[in-house]
Parts: sequence; C-alpha cells; structure tokens
Amino acid sequence: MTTIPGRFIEAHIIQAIPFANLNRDDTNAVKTVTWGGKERTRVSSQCWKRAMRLYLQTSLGQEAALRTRRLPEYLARHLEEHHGWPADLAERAGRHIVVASSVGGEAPKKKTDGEETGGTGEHWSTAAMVYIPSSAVPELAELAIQYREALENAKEPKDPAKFGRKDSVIPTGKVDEILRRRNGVINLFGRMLAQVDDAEVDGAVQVAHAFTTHATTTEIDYFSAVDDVTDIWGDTTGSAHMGQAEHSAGVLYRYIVLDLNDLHANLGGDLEATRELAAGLLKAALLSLPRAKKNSTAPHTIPHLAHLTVRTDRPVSYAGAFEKPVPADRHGGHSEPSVAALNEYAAAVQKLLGTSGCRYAAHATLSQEKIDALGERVESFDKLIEGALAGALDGREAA
Amino acid sequence: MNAPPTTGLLLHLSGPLQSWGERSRFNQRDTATAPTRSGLIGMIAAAFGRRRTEPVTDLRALRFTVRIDRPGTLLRDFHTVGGGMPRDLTVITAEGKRRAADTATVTSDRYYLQDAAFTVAVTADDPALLDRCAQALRAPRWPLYLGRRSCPPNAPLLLTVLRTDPVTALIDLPLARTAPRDRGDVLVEFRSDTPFESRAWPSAPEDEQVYTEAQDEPVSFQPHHRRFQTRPIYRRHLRLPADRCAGLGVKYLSAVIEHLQSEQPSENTPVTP
Repeated sequence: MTTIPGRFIEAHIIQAIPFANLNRDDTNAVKTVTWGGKERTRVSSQCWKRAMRLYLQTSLGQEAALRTRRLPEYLARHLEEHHGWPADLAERAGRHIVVASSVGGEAPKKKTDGEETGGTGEHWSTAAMVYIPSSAVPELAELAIQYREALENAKEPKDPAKFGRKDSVIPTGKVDEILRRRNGVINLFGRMLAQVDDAEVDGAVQVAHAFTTHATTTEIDYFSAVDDVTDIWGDTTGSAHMGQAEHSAGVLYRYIVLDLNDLHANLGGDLEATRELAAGLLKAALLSLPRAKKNSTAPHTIPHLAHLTVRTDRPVSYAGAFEKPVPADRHGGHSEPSVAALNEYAAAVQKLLGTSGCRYAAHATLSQEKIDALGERVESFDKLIEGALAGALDGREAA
Repeated sequence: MNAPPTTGLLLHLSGPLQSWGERSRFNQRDTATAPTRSGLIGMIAAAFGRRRTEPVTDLRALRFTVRIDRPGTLLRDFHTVGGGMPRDLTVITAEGKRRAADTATVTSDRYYLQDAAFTVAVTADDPALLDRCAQALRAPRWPLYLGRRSCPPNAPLLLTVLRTDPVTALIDLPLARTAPRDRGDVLVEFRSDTPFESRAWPSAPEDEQVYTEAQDEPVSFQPHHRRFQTRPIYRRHLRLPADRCAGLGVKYLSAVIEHLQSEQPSENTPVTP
C-alpha cells in the first residue's frame, strides 16, 4: 500500500446560522457550552455527523447504509416484492437468517411478557442494531433463494423464543460474510458491530462539537396558534394553542479532521476510491446542515469562510481563536471579526509550531478581510477541495 | 556539544469540551475533574499508533503532574441512540420491567468538562522514552483527543520538551486563565500520581498535601477486557503571582511563545520551510 504524503485534511469553517435550533436536548432547549467563561450555542458532533452522512447519501449518490434492527422484516418484504415469495416463507427466511447470524435474532415480544407495551412487536428483529450497506439486503435475499428448499422443509418452532442458531437451516458464516460488507459511509464513519468478528471498522473522520465564536443567549420564542373558525365567526376571543420554543442565532466555528491514512487503509489501499470519498466527505462537511426545525426556521446558510489544510504531522484545532469571545464589529456582525480572529490565531500557531508540517493551505470566503495566515484564496469550494486533494495525494507541494 | 538529557514534556490540555471517563457504564458516561492516568496513557498510546489490543506496559513508567489552570464546569449532554441494545442492557422502568424492542431507544447522559485548561508535566526516569513520546505527539499516528473523540485538543498540545527541572518549568509556565482584578495572586491546584517530594516544590506544611485514590491505572485497553488498578492521587495548592495569568486564546499563546523562547532558545526556534 502506498503511503499518503498528506496524512490529515482539516476543515475549519466559519458559518453564520440565523434564528434556529439545529440541535436540541431532552427539554427542546438549545445545546450550549461555556468557553472562555461565556455561554455559547453548541451543535454536537453526533448531530452534524448525521447531517454529513445523509448529505453523502442523498446529494452525492453514495450508496446508503442502513442502521436498523428491522432486518428480518425488511428482508421478507424484499423477497415478496422482488422474488414473488409467499409472505409466510419470506418471513421464515428473514427469521432463519438473523438467527443464524452472530448478531442473533429476537422473537416477537408477547405483551404479557412483563414489559412496557408500545409498538406492534409482531416481527422478529436482530438482537442488536446492525449497520450494513443497503446492497447487503439483496445479497441476503440471494442467500435465502439458495436455501429455499431447506426453508420450505424447515419445521416451525414450538416456542419461538427458544428458536436458536442450531435451528436455522442457513450457515452462520455465509450470513456474517454479508454483514461484514462495507460501503463508503461505513469506511468514513466507522462501525461498531461487536458480535460479528472482523466487522468493526474504525472511523476515519473526527468531528468536533461546533460552537459560536461569541457569547450567545438563548431566545425564548412565545407563540400562539390562531383557530381559523374562531377567527371567521369572531364569537370568542383567544388562541387555540400557545407555547414557547427556544432558538438562538450566531456564528459557528466548525472543525473536522479526515485521517487519510485510515480511510485509505479502510478502502484496502484503493487510491482512487480514497480520493473520491475524501472529496465527498469534504463537500458534505462544507455544505450539509442538521435538519432540526428546518421547516420553521429555514437556516440554509453556507460557510462564510472555509479553510482547508493538509498536514503531514498532526491535526491542529483553532478553537482557541474563539476562547476569548469575539466582539461584534461596529456594524454589529460577528462573521468578519471571527475571520480576523481565526487568521490571527493561525499566525500565532504557525509561529509556535512552524509551518513545515503543513503541506497545503487555502481558503474560500465571502469575507472582505485581509487574510494572510490561511493560505491562498481560491474562488470556489470545489477548487478548494480539489486543491487539498491534490496537495494530499499527488505529491504537489503547498503554493 | 551534547544536549543535556530530556527531563520531561509540558502539555497544554484545553478545548471547549473534554471528558475523562472514570466509572462510565452504559448510558451514564461520567468525567473526572482532571485528566486521568488511563486517559493520558491512552492518548499517548494513540499517538504511537498502538491498537487497543496492544500492551501499554512501557507507558506506565510515565508520571503525570497536572496543574489546573482552569477547573472548568460540568456539562450534561443528552444523547440518543436509535435503540439497538440487547434487551438486558436497556433501561429498567419504574416497575422493574424492560421495555419492548421497539420502544427501547437508548438515551444517554454524557458528561463533559467545559471550559477547562490543564498544564501537564510528563516525566520519567528514561529520557529516551520521553523523546519517543515527544516525537509521537508531534506527529501522532491518529488524531488525538481529550478523553472523547469529539473533543480535539486546542492547539498546541505539546508545548515543549524540557531539559531543566520539570517542576520549576511547570510552576513557571504562564497560566491559561485571566488574572483576577482584585488581588495579586491566584490559588492553583496541582495533582500528581507521585508525592511532591522534589526539592523544586516550594515548602508547605505536611497537611497541605492531600492523598486520595483513583481506579485509573491502565493494565489493558483490550475491548471487553479493559482492566484498571487503583493508584494514588496527591494534591496540593500553590499561590502564584497574578501576573502569571496570561489570558485566553491568542494572548495566552503569545505569552507561552515568549516565555519558552526566553527559557530555552534552542528548542523553540520557529521552523520555516
């Protein structure tokens, strides 16, 4: 396997988010973090990672990955719809396959089984969440087709709860082999699947929690809903419903590191696939947005500034640039002062660490600021991504 | 001319969030109030590119003394996972029953330290081991993090390689905090896994050294077989002059650069390509 000269690609992003609540907690409150003694709005790393994953799948045509426990149902429906299997045989195939797997199957729950009720509980599920490429489903269906005769002759269990691996007509190894399959999304973000040997994949992407570069306060938005009939008849006063919701607005600093060595290793040393997936990931990092409350707030902004670096030694977060909260400039905005603070901090870091570990640095921005410590300015996000990948993979030195 | 041997490393551990798990089980992920030995050894092991199944025996020779520049505060983060735990690991309801699979979405409380900053002196009897650690931290195999992967360290993590007395260097380094307005000194806590016996420590009455224990000495990081032993924690406080408080962000960084250049010019000459 070739060694990748630029080991880490980093994205530093300054992005204004209007009145919104991209990521909330169990009380619907805006997530926050204190930094430099001041409260900031926060979007958790898990939240933005999911947005990136969905962006990769929908906008960039990366094959979807399924994160599910409802594999037997999903598989049964596939056998019925695509192969014309009768429903009961299809259901039996789904059950035999999950029970055979190392993940194991779980029988439908009886409602008297000392449980909280809820949901239908009529179907078999996997004993734990699986994370598989969606192409694994047709492959499992092909496996069922190979064993159709055995499935037709299999006896129905007396007690479904005791139906175990030894009762399945399908070999464990063949199911596990399919469950071990990966796709781009799994190669990037990793997978925990402890039950199946050699199925775990260490993710190649590290995402920091995003936070505002300045102090924010949460806004409590009081709202009422008008009853249209009351409004037409005018026979009574008042609204039909009222409540309150939390939002906040601010300029976020986002930081993402892609470990190109790990991605390259996850892809078995395929350099072209590494380039393609890295490009997709960077695009998703720049342009994806969490979806919470999107219809009521439409917070569809793009980064004010995106700065990409390729480093040969170690990743360097610039969160410290905003440890002291950025004050608004005299016109009231935080975007431009945030760009200035990032630039100033990057210059200080270069002074301390030197620049020999940095192979490529460039930025694309809407800013009017004088920027001299964030590499050359390029005109588009696409050019920025292209340049970073050339710097990382093609042995081209930094400009 | 031979350089004197390496005596220690100084690390700056800070970021909006850190999390040093001590007793985490399943859906309660706690954090200690300062970096743990297991967390620090794990971080250095990751810098070397050691997998969790590989031994860390050699790294247990490292000693850590932590200066708490800013203690930070506790943050609870509410986290959901779309179900998927085996049934006997799902949350027990008030009636002592288990939920059905389709309602078993697991929520977890993850605790973080927010707004904390630590300066850590890493010492060992073996200068070569320290040099290898410094090299690994300068060019780590994996991106490093402060206890949890979503918590990257603030730049720079490795501040300097010491060839002088590490205790003096740790006490003298600028503090990552703002100076108090109303007084001339600040009370700073130090924690160590070894007694404060070096002659470089300012003398203090015996009872100022507090001794507790933590279960964070890593024996093995192997998945499903993680093992830790008990180890002592020694604590003491020092009053340091308020002008050692360097402020936040770029002001702190500039003060550290200036301090290190005046102390050890040969080690910290900026490298230009």
